[in-house]
Amino acid sequence: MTDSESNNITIGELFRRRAYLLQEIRTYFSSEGVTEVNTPILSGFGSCEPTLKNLSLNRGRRTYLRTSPESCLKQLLSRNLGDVYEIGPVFRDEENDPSHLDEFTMVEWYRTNIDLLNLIADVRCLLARCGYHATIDTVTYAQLFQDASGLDPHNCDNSELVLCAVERGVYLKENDLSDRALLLDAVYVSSVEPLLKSFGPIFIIDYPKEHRAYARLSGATETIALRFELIINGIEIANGYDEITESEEQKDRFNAENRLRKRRGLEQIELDRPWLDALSSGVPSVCGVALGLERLEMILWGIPDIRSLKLNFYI
Amino acid sequence: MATYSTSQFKPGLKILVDGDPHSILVNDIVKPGKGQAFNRIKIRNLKNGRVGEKTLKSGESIEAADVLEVELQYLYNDGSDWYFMNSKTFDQVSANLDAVGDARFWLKGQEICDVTLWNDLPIVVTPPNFVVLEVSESDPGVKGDTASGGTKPAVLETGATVKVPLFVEQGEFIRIDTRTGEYVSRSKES
Repeated sequence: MTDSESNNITIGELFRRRAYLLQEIRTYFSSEGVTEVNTPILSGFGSCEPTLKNLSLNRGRRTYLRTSPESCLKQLLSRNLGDVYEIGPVFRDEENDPSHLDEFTMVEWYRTNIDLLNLIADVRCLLARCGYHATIDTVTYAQLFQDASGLDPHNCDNSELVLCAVERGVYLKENDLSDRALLLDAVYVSSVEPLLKSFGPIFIIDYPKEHRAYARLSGATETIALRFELIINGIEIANGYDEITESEEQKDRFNAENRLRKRRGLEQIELDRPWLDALSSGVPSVCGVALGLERLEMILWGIPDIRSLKLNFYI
Repeated sequence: MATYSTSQFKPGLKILVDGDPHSILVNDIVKPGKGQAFNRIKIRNLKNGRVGEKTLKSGESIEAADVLEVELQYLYNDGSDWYFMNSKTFDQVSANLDAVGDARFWLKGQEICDVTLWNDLPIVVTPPNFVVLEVSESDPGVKGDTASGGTKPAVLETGATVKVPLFVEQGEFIRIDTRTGEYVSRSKES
Protein backbone atom coordinates (compact mmCIF):
# COMPACT_ATOMS: atom_id res chain seq x y z
CA MET A 1 0.00 0.00 0.00
CA THR A 2 1.16 3.49 -0.75
CA ASP A 3 2.14 5.58 2.22
CA SER A 4 2.69 9.24 2.77
CA GLU A 5 6.41 9.03 2.00
CA SER A 6 6.10 7.34 -1.39
CA ASN A 7 4.08 10.25 -2.77
CA ASN A 8 6.02 12.96 -1.02
CA ILE A 9 2.90 14.27 0.64
CA THR A 10 2.18 14.11 4.36
CA ILE A 11 -1.26 13.95 5.92
CA GLY A 12 -0.92 17.55 7.10
CA GLU A 13 0.10 18.68 3.64
CA LEU A 14 -2.76 16.72 2.06
CA PHE A 15 -5.37 18.48 4.17
CA ARG A 16 -3.79 21.93 3.76
CA ARG A 17 -3.81 21.50 0.00
CA ARG A 18 -7.35 20.18 -0.05
CA ALA A 19 -8.62 23.04 2.10
CA TYR A 20 -7.01 25.50 -0.31
CA LEU A 21 -8.44 23.71 -3.35
CA LEU A 22 -11.96 23.66 -1.88
CA GLN A 23 -11.64 27.35 -1.15
CA GLU A 24 -10.70 28.05 -4.76
CA ILE A 25 -13.64 25.99 -6.03
CA ARG A 26 -16.06 27.79 -3.72
CA THR A 27 -14.64 31.18 -4.68
CA TYR A 28 -15.14 30.33 -8.35
CA PHE A 29 -18.76 29.28 -7.94
CA SER A 30 -19.49 32.22 -5.69
CA SER A 31 -18.15 34.62 -8.32
CA GLU A 32 -20.36 32.89 -10.90
CA GLY A 33 -23.48 33.17 -8.77
CA VAL A 34 -23.82 29.42 -8.24
CA THR A 35 -25.33 28.51 -4.86
CA GLU A 36 -23.74 25.86 -2.67
CA VAL A 37 -26.20 23.32 -1.29
CA ASN A 38 -26.00 20.24 0.91
CA THR A 39 -28.34 17.36 0.22
CA PRO A 40 -28.82 14.03 2.01
CA ILE A 41 -26.29 11.24 1.54
CA LEU A 42 -28.85 8.57 2.42
CA SER A 43 -31.52 7.97 -0.19
CA GLY A 44 -34.52 5.73 -0.57
CA PHE A 45 -33.63 5.23 -4.23
CA GLY A 46 -30.57 3.63 -5.74
CA SER A 47 -29.01 4.66 -9.01
CA CYS A 48 -30.59 2.87 -11.93
CA GLU A 49 -27.52 3.10 -14.16
CA PRO A 50 -26.62 -0.48 -15.14
CA THR A 51 -22.88 0.10 -14.76
CA LEU A 52 -23.05 1.65 -11.29
CA LYS A 53 -23.04 -0.53 -8.22
CA ASN A 54 -25.12 0.86 -5.38
CA LEU A 55 -24.08 0.51 -1.75
CA SER A 56 -27.15 -0.09 0.39
CA LEU A 57 -27.94 -0.41 4.06
CA ASN A 58 -30.13 -3.08 5.59
CA ARG A 59 -32.40 -1.51 8.17
CA GLY A 60 -35.89 -2.73 7.49
CA ARG A 61 -36.51 -0.56 4.47
CA ARG A 62 -33.95 -0.33 1.73
CA THR A 63 -31.67 2.71 2.09
CA TYR A 64 -28.92 3.59 -0.34
CA LEU A 65 -25.75 5.60 -0.02
CA ARG A 66 -26.00 8.01 -2.94
CA THR A 67 -23.85 7.43 -6.03
CA SER A 68 -24.25 11.13 -6.83
CA PRO A 69 -26.36 14.08 -5.58
CA GLU A 70 -28.08 14.27 -8.98
CA SER A 71 -31.61 13.38 -7.84
CA CYS A 72 -31.65 15.90 -4.98
CA LEU A 73 -30.06 18.64 -7.08
CA LYS A 74 -32.70 18.16 -9.77
CA GLN A 75 -35.37 18.43 -7.10
CA LEU A 76 -33.81 21.75 -6.07
CA LEU A 77 -33.71 22.93 -9.69
CA SER A 78 -37.50 22.58 -9.76
CA ARG A 79 -37.68 24.91 -6.72
CA ASN A 80 -36.22 27.82 -8.67
CA LEU A 81 -32.94 28.02 -6.81
CA GLY A 82 -31.14 28.84 -10.04
CA ASP A 83 -27.64 27.41 -10.54
CA VAL A 84 -26.52 25.08 -7.74
CA TYR A 85 -23.49 23.04 -6.77
CA GLU A 86 -22.65 20.48 -4.13
CA ILE A 87 -19.36 19.11 -2.85
CA GLY A 88 -19.71 15.90 -0.88
CA PRO A 89 -19.08 12.20 -0.52
CA VAL A 90 -20.58 9.65 -2.92
CA PHE A 91 -20.30 5.86 -2.89
CA ARG A 92 -19.86 2.95 -5.27
CA ASP A 93 -19.77 -0.71 -4.36
CA GLU A 94 -16.40 -1.25 -6.04
CA GLU A 95 -12.93 -2.39 -5.13
CA ASN A 96 -10.44 0.36 -4.42
CA ASP A 97 -7.63 0.44 -6.96
CA PRO A 98 -5.14 3.04 -8.21
CA SER A 99 -7.88 5.09 -9.89
CA HIS A 100 -11.08 4.07 -8.06
CA LEU A 101 -12.38 4.60 -4.53
CA ASP A 102 -15.55 3.17 -3.04
CA GLU A 103 -16.05 6.51 -1.29
CA PHE A 104 -14.97 9.69 -3.04
CA THR A 105 -15.76 13.38 -3.19
CA MET A 106 -17.99 14.63 -5.97
CA VAL A 107 -18.14 18.21 -7.13
CA GLU A 108 -21.42 18.39 -9.02
CA TRP A 109 -23.01 21.50 -10.46
CA TYR A 110 -25.90 22.60 -12.67
CA ARG A 111 -26.03 25.70 -14.89
CA THR A 112 -29.42 26.74 -16.18
CA ASN A 113 -30.08 28.04 -19.67
CA ILE A 114 -26.66 27.30 -21.18
CA ASP A 115 -25.61 24.71 -23.76
CA LEU A 116 -23.03 21.95 -23.45
CA LEU A 117 -20.22 23.92 -25.10
CA ASN A 118 -20.74 26.69 -22.56
CA LEU A 119 -20.62 24.10 -19.80
CA ILE A 120 -17.29 22.85 -21.17
CA ALA A 121 -16.05 26.45 -21.07
CA ASP A 122 -17.25 26.61 -17.47
CA VAL A 123 -15.21 23.49 -16.60
CA ARG A 124 -12.13 25.05 -18.22
CA CYS A 125 -12.55 28.17 -16.08
CA LEU A 126 -12.94 26.15 -12.89
CA LEU A 127 -9.80 24.12 -13.70
CA ALA A 128 -7.84 27.30 -14.36
CA ARG A 129 -9.01 28.64 -11.00
CA CYS A 130 -7.72 25.39 -9.44
CA GLY A 131 -4.32 25.92 -11.05
CA TYR A 132 -4.71 23.64 -14.06
CA HIS A 133 -3.71 25.57 -17.17
CA ALA A 134 -2.98 22.92 -19.81
CA THR A 135 -4.68 23.22 -23.19
CA ILE A 136 -7.60 20.81 -23.44
CA ASP A 137 -8.65 19.72 -26.91
CA THR A 138 -12.16 18.70 -27.85
CA VAL A 139 -12.65 15.53 -29.88
CA THR A 140 -15.73 13.55 -30.80
CA TYR A 141 -16.28 10.03 -29.55
CA ALA A 142 -16.75 8.92 -33.16
CA GLN A 143 -13.37 10.34 -34.19
CA LEU A 144 -11.54 8.56 -31.37
CA PHE A 145 -13.43 5.35 -31.99
CA GLN A 146 -12.89 5.39 -35.74
CA ASP A 147 -9.15 6.18 -35.47
CA ALA A 148 -8.58 3.35 -33.00
CA SER A 149 -10.87 0.66 -34.41
CA GLY A 150 -11.81 1.67 -37.96
CA LEU A 151 -15.50 1.51 -37.03
CA ASP A 152 -18.20 4.18 -36.98
CA PRO A 153 -19.79 3.84 -33.52
CA HIS A 154 -23.06 5.47 -34.60
CA ASN A 155 -23.70 3.35 -37.67
CA CYS A 156 -21.66 0.13 -37.74
CA ASP A 157 -23.33 -3.25 -37.21
CA ASN A 158 -23.16 -5.15 -33.93
CA SER A 159 -21.37 -7.95 -35.78
CA GLU A 160 -18.54 -5.57 -36.71
CA LEU A 161 -18.17 -4.55 -33.07
CA VAL A 162 -18.11 -8.19 -31.99
CA LEU A 163 -15.44 -9.07 -34.55
CA CYS A 164 -13.26 -6.13 -33.57
CA ALA A 165 -13.56 -6.84 -29.83
CA VAL A 166 -12.85 -10.54 -30.19
CA GLU A 167 -9.84 -9.85 -32.42
CA ARG A 168 -8.51 -7.66 -29.63
CA GLY A 169 -8.79 -10.33 -26.98
CA VAL A 170 -12.14 -9.53 -25.38
CA TYR A 171 -14.18 -12.45 -24.06
CA LEU A 172 -17.82 -12.13 -25.03
CA LYS A 173 -20.70 -14.39 -24.12
CA GLU A 174 -23.71 -15.15 -26.26
CA ASN A 175 -25.85 -12.80 -24.20
CA ASP A 176 -23.42 -9.94 -24.97
CA LEU A 177 -23.63 -10.20 -28.75
CA SER A 178 -26.78 -8.07 -29.11
CA ASP A 179 -26.02 -5.70 -26.19
CA ARG A 180 -24.81 -2.75 -28.24
CA ALA A 181 -23.88 -0.56 -25.25
CA LEU A 182 -21.66 -3.36 -24.00
CA LEU A 183 -20.15 -4.04 -27.43
CA LEU A 184 -19.26 -0.36 -27.81
CA ASP A 185 -17.57 -0.55 -24.41
CA ALA A 186 -15.74 -3.74 -25.38
CA VAL A 187 -14.24 -2.08 -28.46
CA TYR A 188 -13.61 1.16 -26.57
CA VAL A 189 -11.77 -0.63 -23.75
CA SER A 190 -9.66 -2.75 -26.10
CA SER A 191 -8.97 -0.08 -28.76
CA VAL A 192 -9.46 3.48 -27.55
CA GLU A 193 -8.74 3.32 -23.84
CA PRO A 194 -5.13 2.03 -24.17
CA LEU A 195 -4.36 5.11 -26.30
CA LEU A 196 -5.88 7.70 -23.96
CA LYS A 197 -2.80 7.91 -21.73
CA SER A 198 -0.72 8.95 -24.72
CA PHE A 199 -3.06 11.84 -25.57
CA GLY A 200 -3.04 15.23 -23.93
CA PRO A 201 -6.09 16.26 -21.93
CA ILE A 202 -9.29 16.01 -23.98
CA PHE A 203 -12.99 16.64 -23.77
CA ILE A 204 -14.70 13.75 -25.54
CA ILE A 205 -18.07 14.91 -26.90
CA ASP A 206 -21.01 13.53 -28.89
CA TYR A 207 -21.46 10.07 -27.40
CA PRO A 208 -23.48 7.38 -29.18
CA LYS A 209 -27.07 7.24 -27.99
CA GLU A 210 -26.45 3.90 -26.26
CA HIS A 211 -24.23 5.84 -23.85
CA ARG A 212 -26.53 8.80 -23.39
CA ALA A 213 -27.24 8.05 -19.72
CA TYR A 214 -29.43 11.06 -18.80
CA ALA A 215 -28.29 13.37 -21.59
CA ARG A 216 -30.54 14.76 -24.28
CA LEU A 217 -30.15 13.52 -27.86
CA SER A 218 -29.38 15.76 -30.79
CA GLY A 219 -29.35 15.61 -34.55
CA ALA A 220 -32.17 14.95 -36.98
CA THR A 221 -31.92 11.22 -36.36
CA GLU A 222 -31.24 11.54 -32.63
CA THR A 223 -28.17 9.31 -32.74
CA ILE A 224 -25.89 11.60 -30.76
CA ALA A 225 -26.01 12.18 -27.03
CA LEU A 226 -25.22 15.68 -25.74
CA ARG A 227 -22.63 14.46 -23.27
CA PHE A 228 -18.96 15.02 -22.57
CA GLU A 229 -16.20 13.44 -20.56
CA LEU A 230 -13.00 15.15 -19.53
CA ILE A 231 -10.05 12.77 -19.75
CA ILE A 232 -6.64 13.68 -18.36
CA ASN A 233 -3.73 11.22 -18.23
CA GLY A 234 -6.09 8.53 -19.46
CA ILE A 235 -8.58 8.83 -16.61
CA GLU A 236 -12.03 10.37 -16.46
CA ILE A 237 -12.06 13.56 -14.40
CA ALA A 238 -15.53 14.90 -15.16
CA ASN A 239 -18.69 13.92 -16.96
CA GLY A 240 -21.31 16.39 -18.18
CA TYR A 241 -24.77 16.32 -19.78
CA ASP A 242 -27.23 18.56 -21.44
CA GLU A 243 -29.83 17.22 -19.04
CA ILE A 244 -33.14 15.53 -19.75
CA THR A 245 -35.81 17.84 -18.32
CA GLU A 246 -38.94 16.02 -19.50
CA SER A 247 -40.39 13.69 -16.91
CA GLU A 248 -41.67 11.14 -19.45
CA GLU A 249 -38.31 10.97 -21.23
CA GLN A 250 -36.51 10.47 -17.91
CA LYS A 251 -38.98 7.74 -16.94
CA ASP A 252 -38.33 6.02 -20.26
CA ARG A 253 -34.62 6.14 -19.50
CA PHE A 254 -35.10 4.55 -16.07
CA ASN A 255 -37.26 1.84 -17.59
CA ALA A 256 -34.75 1.21 -20.38
CA GLU A 257 -31.98 0.96 -17.80
CA ASN A 258 -33.98 -1.52 -15.75
CA ARG A 259 -34.54 -3.59 -18.89
CA LEU A 260 -30.78 -3.60 -19.52
CA ARG A 261 -30.22 -4.49 -15.86
CA LYS A 262 -32.58 -7.42 -16.20
CA ARG A 263 -30.84 -8.67 -19.29
CA ARG A 264 -27.46 -8.37 -17.61
CA GLY A 265 -28.73 -10.23 -14.55
CA LEU A 266 -28.66 -7.19 -12.25
CA GLU A 267 -31.27 -6.22 -9.66
CA GLN A 268 -34.17 -3.96 -10.59
CA ILE A 269 -34.15 -0.48 -9.10
CA GLU A 270 -37.33 1.27 -8.03
CA LEU A 271 -38.12 4.38 -10.08
CA ASP A 272 -36.91 7.55 -8.35
CA ARG A 273 -40.32 9.19 -7.95
CA PRO A 274 -39.16 12.48 -6.37
CA TRP A 275 -36.79 12.98 -9.34
CA LEU A 276 -39.59 12.37 -11.86
CA ASP A 277 -42.02 14.56 -9.90
CA ALA A 278 -39.49 17.38 -9.87
CA LEU A 279 -39.22 17.22 -13.67
CA SER A 280 -43.03 17.12 -13.95
CA SER A 281 -43.36 20.27 -11.90
CA GLY A 282 -40.96 22.03 -14.25
CA VAL A 283 -37.17 22.34 -14.45
CA PRO A 284 -35.44 24.97 -16.56
CA SER A 285 -33.22 23.93 -19.45
CA VAL A 286 -30.00 22.90 -17.70
CA CYS A 287 -26.55 21.41 -18.18
CA GLY A 288 -24.87 19.54 -15.35
CA VAL A 289 -21.46 18.09 -14.64
CA ALA A 290 -19.90 15.88 -11.98
CA LEU A 291 -16.19 16.05 -11.23
CA GLY A 292 -14.22 13.65 -9.04
CA LEU A 293 -12.29 15.78 -6.56
CA GLU A 294 -9.64 13.17 -5.71
CA ARG A 295 -9.01 12.51 -9.39
CA LEU A 296 -8.49 16.22 -9.95
CA GLU A 297 -6.07 16.19 -7.02
CA MET A 298 -4.15 13.31 -8.63
CA ILE A 299 -3.64 15.50 -11.70
CA LEU A 300 -2.90 18.74 -9.87
CA TRP A 301 -0.46 17.22 -7.40
CA GLY A 302 1.01 14.39 -9.50
CA ILE A 303 -0.35 11.61 -7.26
CA PRO A 304 -0.09 8.22 -9.01
CA ASP A 305 -2.44 6.27 -6.74
CA ILE A 306 -5.80 7.74 -5.71
CA ARG A 307 -5.82 5.61 -2.57
CA SER A 308 -3.12 7.77 -1.06
CA LEU A 309 -5.68 10.62 -1.01
CA LYS A 310 -7.88 8.83 1.51
CA LEU A 311 -7.16 9.02 5.21
CA ASN A 312 -8.00 5.38 5.95
CA PHE A 313 -5.06 4.24 3.84
CA TYR A 314 -2.59 6.09 6.05
CA ILE A 315 -3.73 4.33 9.20
CA MET B 1 -14.06 -27.32 -12.47
CA ALA B 2 -12.57 -24.56 -10.36
CA THR B 3 -12.98 -21.01 -11.60
CA TYR B 4 -11.67 -17.60 -10.60
CA SER B 5 -13.82 -14.48 -10.66
CA THR B 6 -12.23 -11.28 -11.97
CA SER B 7 -12.29 -9.94 -8.42
CA GLN B 8 -9.78 -12.66 -7.48
CA PHE B 9 -7.38 -11.78 -10.30
CA LYS B 10 -3.85 -10.92 -9.25
CA PRO B 11 -0.37 -11.42 -10.64
CA GLY B 12 0.74 -15.05 -10.43
CA LEU B 13 -2.77 -16.53 -10.64
CA LYS B 14 -2.89 -19.52 -13.03
CA ILE B 15 -5.82 -19.60 -15.44
CA LEU B 16 -6.90 -21.54 -18.49
CA VAL B 17 -7.02 -19.44 -21.68
CA ASP B 18 -7.75 -20.97 -25.10
CA GLY B 19 -7.01 -24.40 -23.64
CA ASP B 20 -3.54 -23.53 -22.35
CA PRO B 21 -2.44 -22.72 -18.81
CA HIS B 22 -1.44 -19.08 -18.36
CA SER B 23 -0.07 -17.01 -15.52
CA ILE B 24 -1.46 -13.51 -14.92
CA LEU B 25 1.33 -10.92 -15.10
CA VAL B 26 -0.66 -7.68 -14.80
CA ASN B 27 -4.33 -7.12 -13.88
CA ASP B 28 -5.90 -3.73 -14.64
CA ILE B 29 -9.49 -2.65 -14.08
CA VAL B 30 -10.64 -0.41 -16.90
CA LYS B 31 -13.91 1.46 -16.76
CA PRO B 32 -15.01 3.81 -19.50
CA GLY B 33 -16.82 6.75 -17.86
CA LYS B 34 -20.43 5.58 -17.94
CA GLY B 35 -19.66 2.16 -19.32
CA GLN B 36 -19.14 -1.41 -18.30
CA ALA B 37 -16.06 -2.20 -16.19
CA PHE B 38 -13.55 -4.66 -17.64
CA ASN B 39 -10.48 -6.45 -16.34
CA ARG B 40 -7.60 -6.27 -18.77
CA ILE B 41 -4.97 -8.87 -18.04
CA LYS B 42 -1.51 -9.45 -19.42
CA ILE B 43 -0.85 -13.18 -19.38
CA ARG B 44 2.03 -15.56 -20.10
CA ASN B 45 1.40 -18.92 -21.71
CA LEU B 46 3.14 -21.36 -19.38
CA LYS B 47 3.75 -23.88 -22.16
CA ASN B 48 5.52 -21.64 -24.65
CA GLY B 49 6.24 -18.44 -22.71
CA ARG B 50 4.28 -16.22 -25.11
CA VAL B 51 2.82 -13.08 -23.59
CA GLY B 52 -0.62 -11.84 -24.61
CA GLU B 53 -3.55 -9.71 -23.47
CA LYS B 54 -7.14 -10.59 -22.70
CA THR B 55 -10.10 -8.48 -21.60
CA LEU B 56 -13.08 -9.73 -19.59
CA LYS B 57 -16.16 -8.03 -18.24
CA SER B 58 -15.64 -7.45 -14.53
CA GLY B 59 -17.62 -10.03 -12.61
CA GLU B 60 -17.07 -12.82 -15.14
CA SER B 61 -15.23 -15.99 -14.20
CA ILE B 62 -12.52 -17.93 -15.94
CA GLU B 63 -11.43 -21.51 -15.51
CA ALA B 64 -8.55 -22.07 -13.12
CA ALA B 65 -5.49 -23.94 -14.34
CA ASP B 66 -4.26 -26.59 -11.92
CA VAL B 67 -0.63 -25.58 -12.12
CA LEU B 68 2.06 -26.37 -9.59
CA GLU B 69 5.76 -25.51 -9.51
CA VAL B 70 7.78 -28.31 -7.94
CA GLU B 71 11.41 -29.38 -7.60
CA LEU B 72 11.94 -32.82 -9.07
CA GLN B 73 15.02 -34.94 -9.57
CA TYR B 74 15.79 -36.10 -13.09
CA LEU B 75 16.22 -39.86 -13.28
CA TYR B 76 16.61 -41.16 -16.82
CA ASN B 77 15.42 -41.04 -20.40
CA ASP B 78 13.93 -44.14 -22.00
CA GLY B 79 14.31 -42.99 -25.57
CA SER B 80 10.99 -41.17 -25.78
CA ASP B 81 10.24 -39.70 -22.34
CA TRP B 82 12.20 -38.18 -19.49
CA TYR B 83 11.49 -39.43 -15.97
CA PHE B 84 11.53 -37.32 -12.83
CA MET B 85 11.03 -38.12 -9.16
CA ASN B 86 9.75 -36.15 -6.20
CA SER B 87 12.46 -36.87 -3.65
CA LYS B 88 10.03 -36.46 -0.72
CA THR B 89 7.16 -38.64 -1.91
CA PHE B 90 9.15 -40.75 -4.41
CA ASP B 91 6.31 -40.17 -6.91
CA GLN B 92 7.54 -40.37 -10.47
CA VAL B 93 6.32 -38.48 -13.52
CA SER B 94 7.36 -38.62 -17.14
CA ALA B 95 7.84 -35.58 -19.35
CA ASN B 96 7.65 -35.55 -23.13
CA LEU B 97 9.92 -33.70 -25.54
CA ASP B 98 7.63 -30.62 -25.60
CA ALA B 99 7.95 -30.21 -21.86
CA VAL B 100 11.66 -30.99 -21.59
CA GLY B 101 12.68 -28.91 -24.60
CA ASP B 102 16.25 -27.67 -24.53
CA ALA B 103 16.66 -28.85 -20.94
CA ARG B 104 17.42 -32.27 -22.42
CA PHE B 105 20.84 -31.01 -23.53
CA TRP B 106 21.92 -30.47 -19.93
CA LEU B 107 20.50 -33.45 -18.06
CA LYS B 108 22.41 -36.66 -17.42
CA GLY B 109 20.80 -37.76 -14.15
CA GLN B 110 20.42 -36.65 -10.51
CA GLU B 111 19.89 -32.96 -11.34
CA ILE B 112 17.21 -31.17 -9.33
CA CYS B 113 15.00 -29.34 -11.83
CA ASP B 114 12.17 -26.82 -11.48
CA VAL B 115 9.21 -28.52 -13.08
CA THR B 116 5.87 -26.90 -13.87
CA LEU B 117 3.06 -29.43 -13.52
CA TRP B 118 -0.31 -28.89 -15.16
CA ASN B 119 -2.96 -31.40 -14.11
CA ASP B 120 -0.05 -33.32 -12.57
CA LEU B 121 1.87 -33.60 -15.86
CA PRO B 122 5.09 -31.68 -16.57
CA ILE B 123 4.74 -28.87 -19.10
CA VAL B 124 8.01 -27.02 -18.51
CA VAL B 125 11.32 -28.37 -17.20
CA THR B 126 13.94 -25.86 -16.11
CA PRO B 127 17.38 -27.37 -15.43
CA PRO B 128 19.73 -26.02 -12.74
CA ASN B 129 21.39 -22.76 -13.85
CA PHE B 130 24.78 -24.46 -13.90
CA VAL B 131 25.64 -28.07 -14.73
CA VAL B 132 28.95 -29.93 -14.98
CA LEU B 133 29.32 -32.29 -17.92
CA GLU B 134 32.10 -34.36 -19.44
CA VAL B 135 33.52 -33.53 -22.87
CA SER B 136 33.08 -36.75 -24.78
CA GLU B 137 34.44 -35.56 -28.09
CA SER B 138 36.56 -32.62 -29.16
CA ASP B 139 39.44 -32.20 -31.58
CA PRO B 140 42.78 -31.37 -29.95
CA GLY B 141 43.40 -27.62 -29.87
CA VAL B 142 46.09 -26.21 -32.15
CA LYS B 143 49.23 -25.60 -30.10
CA GLY B 144 50.29 -22.03 -29.60
CA ASP B 145 46.84 -20.68 -30.35
CA THR B 146 45.58 -20.68 -26.74
CA ALA B 147 46.16 -16.99 -26.14
CA SER B 148 44.05 -15.79 -29.03
CA GLY B 149 40.83 -16.79 -27.28
CA GLY B 150 39.78 -19.03 -30.12
CA THR B 151 37.07 -21.61 -29.61
CA LYS B 152 36.22 -25.02 -31.00
CA PRO B 153 33.14 -27.21 -30.81
CA ALA B 154 32.92 -29.93 -28.17
CA VAL B 155 30.33 -32.67 -27.87
CA LEU B 156 29.27 -33.37 -24.29
CA GLU B 157 28.19 -36.63 -22.71
CA THR B 158 24.54 -35.59 -23.09
CA GLY B 159 24.96 -35.12 -26.82
CA ALA B 160 24.89 -31.30 -26.67
CA THR B 161 27.48 -29.36 -28.67
CA VAL B 162 28.99 -26.26 -27.09
CA LYS B 163 31.83 -23.92 -27.96
CA VAL B 164 34.80 -24.35 -25.66
CA PRO B 165 38.27 -22.72 -25.50
CA LEU B 166 40.96 -24.51 -27.47
CA PHE B 167 42.69 -25.80 -24.31
CA VAL B 168 39.74 -27.92 -23.22
CA GLU B 169 40.39 -31.58 -23.90
CA GLN B 170 38.31 -34.65 -24.36
CA GLY B 171 37.54 -36.34 -21.02
CA GLU B 172 37.62 -33.10 -19.06
CA PHE B 173 34.64 -31.79 -17.09
CA ILE B 174 33.29 -28.34 -17.87
CA ARG B 175 30.74 -26.04 -16.27
CA ILE B 176 27.89 -24.79 -18.47
CA ASP B 177 25.42 -21.97 -17.91
CA THR B 178 22.17 -23.63 -19.01
CA ARG B 179 20.39 -20.27 -19.46
CA THR B 180 22.75 -19.27 -22.28
CA GLY B 181 24.17 -22.67 -23.22
CA GLU B 182 27.68 -21.26 -22.85
CA TYR B 183 30.88 -22.67 -21.41
CA VAL B 184 31.82 -21.10 -18.07
CA SER B 185 34.96 -22.88 -16.87
CA ARG B 186 36.73 -26.18 -16.50
CA SER B 187 35.65 -28.19 -13.47
CA LYS B 188 37.21 -30.85 -11.32
CA GLU B 189 33.85 -32.21 -10.24
CA SER B 190 32.21 -34.89 -12.22
